[in-house]
Amino acid sequence: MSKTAELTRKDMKEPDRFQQVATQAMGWIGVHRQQAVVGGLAALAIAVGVVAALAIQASRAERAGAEGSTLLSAVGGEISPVPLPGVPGPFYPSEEARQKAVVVDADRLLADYPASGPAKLALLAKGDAHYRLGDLDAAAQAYDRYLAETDGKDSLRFGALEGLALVAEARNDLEGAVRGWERLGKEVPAFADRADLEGARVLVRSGKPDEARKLLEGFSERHPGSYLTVEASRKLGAMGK
Amino acid sequence: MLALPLALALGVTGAPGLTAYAVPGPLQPVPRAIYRVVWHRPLVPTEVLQYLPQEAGGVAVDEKTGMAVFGTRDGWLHAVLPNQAFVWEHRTHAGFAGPPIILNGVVYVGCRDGRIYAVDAVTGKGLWLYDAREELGTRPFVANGTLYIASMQDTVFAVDAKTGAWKWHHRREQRPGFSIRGQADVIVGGDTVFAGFSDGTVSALDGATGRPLWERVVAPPGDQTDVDGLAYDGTKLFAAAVSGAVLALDPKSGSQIWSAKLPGAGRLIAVNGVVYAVGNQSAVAVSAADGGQIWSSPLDGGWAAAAPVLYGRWLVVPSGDGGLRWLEAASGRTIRLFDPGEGVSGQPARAGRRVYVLSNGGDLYALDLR
Repeated sequence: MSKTAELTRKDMKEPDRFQQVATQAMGWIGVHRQQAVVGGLAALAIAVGVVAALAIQASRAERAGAEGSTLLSAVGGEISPVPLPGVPGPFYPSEEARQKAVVVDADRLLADYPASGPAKLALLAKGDAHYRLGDLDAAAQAYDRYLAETDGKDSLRFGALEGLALVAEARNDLEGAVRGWERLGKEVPAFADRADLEGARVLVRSGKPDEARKLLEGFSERHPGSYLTVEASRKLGAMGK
Repeated sequence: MLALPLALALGVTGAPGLTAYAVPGPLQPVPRAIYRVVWHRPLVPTEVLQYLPQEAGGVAVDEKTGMAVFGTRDGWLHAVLPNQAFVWEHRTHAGFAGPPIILNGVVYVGCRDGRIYAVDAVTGKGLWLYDAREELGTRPFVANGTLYIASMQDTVFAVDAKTGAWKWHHRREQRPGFSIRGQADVIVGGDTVFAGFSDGTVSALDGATGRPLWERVVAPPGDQTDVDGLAYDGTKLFAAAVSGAVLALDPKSGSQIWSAKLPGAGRLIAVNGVVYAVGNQSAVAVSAADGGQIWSSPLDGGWAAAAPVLYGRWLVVPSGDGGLRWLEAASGRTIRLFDPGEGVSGQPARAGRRVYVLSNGGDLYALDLR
């Protein structure tokens, strides 16, 4: 092929690269007919297998979504011993019964479709439900698993980190709770203002009001524009000198 | 063991030992339940070897009756009441890639079969149809007795809203090579129709005649220059260009007022002095006055599947495979994610507390905001 932009008569007479390769390929197939047929069939089988696997995956995702919606219905279920007219269910006789139902639905989703997106969200719902039921070990386990199964950029990690801090506080592990809020602030900067405020509250509970005051005094500088600034000032004022 | 967490979780004050401290109790928890799923209904049967299905049609709601109307990829237009009862179904010849509108008892929708359908909102009977012979995948706009709609092939059609009679059309030559699949909904401000095109142009057309009032290439240079999102707040026209910009334009001249970078900018809305735009990696909020960034929020692998909507304090972003993301509009923090399994590509619709969402799998979800 000429290096100039124009095609010469010589260029047009010579076979191009595609024609050369195609001719070679046809020659090879002519000699190795049996291998070519086997190779072609294998490629076809692989292609069909891949398409089928992807289709099954899509179908499973849809079913996982349906189970996820059942779980969300339970999370938002009504507390009432009897069905209420005009109010869509489900109905639970108590908060405890509702949280237990959430755990059951979450476990079902996690067992049926463990690798799905809805299953990841189920871990958060399961952690929250266990926490509300006072089953703190199970709550921490669910939150830890969520953190292990998502990368550092996942937008909902704050829910698991917040849950772990609350679990530590509920265990009366106040140092663990302070560390938990610090971790939230570090790993999810968008929630650092909230983490500082909650951390200060736990520091006061731990008998460390000076550290809490320090955290609150620098709040507006560290989090300019935070809608929690007023709350931080109010809490600082409540602490006195 | 049970009492403390339950008390904390339920916001009950006076949990043991808490009130004695100078810093009062915990903050209100980040809302864990923004909405509840009231019901969901599978509508489109799964096809054999179906891979990555999409329902890009979106939903419209009749505010008087709460009836939700939406088209699905199997070519049916559905009308469903808040109690799940079907009011009617109307058959077309292809799926839907844009949402309907409901106006004065009539449902208007553009279909991928190239036709604009006007359907009686009460009975579901066809009133008229106009065959544009170009794939339609945007939301129609009705103003001054005329229906305007953009096709996926860079044409804007204007037809009589009562009869479907052709009034005018305006076509731009499609950009050679690949373009992003999708098109901006047309917007009408006064007597002017604004439209975006795949060659990076935004046009202002005379609503009565289709005559161009101005046409400007606004997209920055790039492989895909499509203008896939437009919004108008009465004083400025805002455009999202896939080649990486959100722009504010003077609606009278088309001259640029400001420009803000956003990779893959595809959809946007302008509400209360803020422009919320979605790109292929993140959603942003910028000041409508000067384009200054207020916040940026990652989409975790999602993309600008449809324009976001603002429900009170929540910015709701359909992000394709990324599901329906619920962001705090003030801070951009993602608080919740609704993942029906295969994502959400169509715009949801709201009537009161009820929100309807169509999943990519073809299921309609009814959510109630809490």
